[in-house]
Amino acid sequence: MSEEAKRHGASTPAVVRARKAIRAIVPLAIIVAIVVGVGPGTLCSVGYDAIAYICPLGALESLFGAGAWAPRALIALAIVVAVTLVVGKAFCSWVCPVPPLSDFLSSKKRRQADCAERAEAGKRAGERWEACRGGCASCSACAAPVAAEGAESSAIVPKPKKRGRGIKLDGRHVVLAGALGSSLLCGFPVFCLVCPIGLTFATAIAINRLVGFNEPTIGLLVFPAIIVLELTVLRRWCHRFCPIGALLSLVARFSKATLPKVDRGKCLRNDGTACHQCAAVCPEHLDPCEDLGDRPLSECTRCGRCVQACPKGAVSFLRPMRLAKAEMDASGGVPEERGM
Amino acid sequence: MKQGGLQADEQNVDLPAITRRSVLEGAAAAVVMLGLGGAVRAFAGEGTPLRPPGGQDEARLQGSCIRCDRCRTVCPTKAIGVGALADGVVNVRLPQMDFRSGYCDMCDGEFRCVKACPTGALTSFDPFADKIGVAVVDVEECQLYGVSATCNAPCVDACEYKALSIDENGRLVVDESRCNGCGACEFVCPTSAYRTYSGSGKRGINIEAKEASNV
Repeated sequence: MSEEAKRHGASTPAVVRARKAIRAIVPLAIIVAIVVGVGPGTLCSVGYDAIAYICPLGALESLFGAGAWAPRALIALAIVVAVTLVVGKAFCSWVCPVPPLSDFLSSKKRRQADCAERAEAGKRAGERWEACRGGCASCSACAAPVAAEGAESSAIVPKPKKRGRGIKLDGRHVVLAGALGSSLLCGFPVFCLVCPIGLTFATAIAINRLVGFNEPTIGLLVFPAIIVLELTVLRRWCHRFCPIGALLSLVARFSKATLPKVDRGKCLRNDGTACHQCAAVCPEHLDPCEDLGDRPLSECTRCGRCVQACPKGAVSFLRPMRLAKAEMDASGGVPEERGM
Repeated sequence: MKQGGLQADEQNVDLPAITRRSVLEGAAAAVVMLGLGGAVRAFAGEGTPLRPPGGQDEARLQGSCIRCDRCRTVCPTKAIGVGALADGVVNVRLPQMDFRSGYCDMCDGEFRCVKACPTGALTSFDPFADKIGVAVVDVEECQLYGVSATCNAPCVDACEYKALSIDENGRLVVDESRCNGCGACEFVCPTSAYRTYSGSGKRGINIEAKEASNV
């Protein structure tokens, strides 16, 4: 059985299965721990004793709110930055409870519209690639010195250049600035009050207090109401508003090692087909192939949908040895950075 | 040459740029957040809830606490509760002492809540110098003050700091200098142990907020 056949046989790649398992297990484990009463905390901070993860935005807000530099918050922040440098925005699709909640709160029509938007974004990425193929010489989005001699490797597949594709500030970053500014001016972490991640666990805690301590609070109604408001009225919360995602994206642009990798030998674009199936399923509106999507590759959450969608099984997270070697040969001994 | 062409046609492939709309949305959200913060500050409740050990600097606690719930869940005696909306929006999900559920035994000096606090909202606490609050006898509820004074005063035995005593008239008195507000007396007080529909709902002895200057 060839590698390709194997990929098609297993409809769900291991990375997607692992992600779904972790995303279900982590919040459930935290909620069970809260109910049992041995809680290690919530996603705002979870750990044992002094060793704990802290929400990077919470840590920053706390520094701004109190005007005091807690060493532990700084250390935790540094660790989050280090992890983000390796796995990018993986938190968003592997751990964060908001995307599944948002899915749950969406009507069928809404979900179909989201799918259509992804498909549209993929189509646009395909069109950009077509335009790009017309001639790298005339195209600003394409990789610099058009690989001249090395014909067979890069004559057809264009390489987008990195310039202008690095950091991209958008509305989320304004929200991030607002979160930090309001903490500074008001003297407490304001965003924590309305953070949908915090409120998810706050709701679980409120239910637990109701059942375990007979302590009914108005929060039982208010917390879920704020979540519903944020995820339905302000729809596409993650793309448009989430300041945590904004903070991670600032660091994630330097995280290239774990981006999905495309085997150029298998990719249909290598044969001149303007395939954009990987881009058309991407919830972040990226183009895993050439970074010609609506949003830059630094927004990748490592969800693995592109791995699942590729008709040729060309996308994976692990770079196969064969592929690495082929790239090495193609670029004349110098490992090619593109294609990661 | 090719290099020249590269600069010539910048519009060929247009990657979407940041849109004005997205920035305006973000700015609106930021303004709402600022307004929310200001409103919360303006309408803060006047009462100061009792904070876990090390959280007595209220400005620092409010400024640092990210409402992560770790101090509450590590408390071995379940003496830490969660602030409700009714206590003022700024107190929502902040930790506050709940002496009906437990009392602070300082974990024999381990202070697991202080250890667990990731942002430094709870700092070190000295049980002999710092105060969570101070015990105040409620003469309406305390059974030693009643007409028929009958109580075996479990509060006096519960106090590890020898802050409670019964005077020559058989009344309960508090030595405020010894009391650090650990809440053991309130926890064991038999008055209003079950919720009643008559009376204030308070216990015979209650921990109340005390200014730090009173140490």
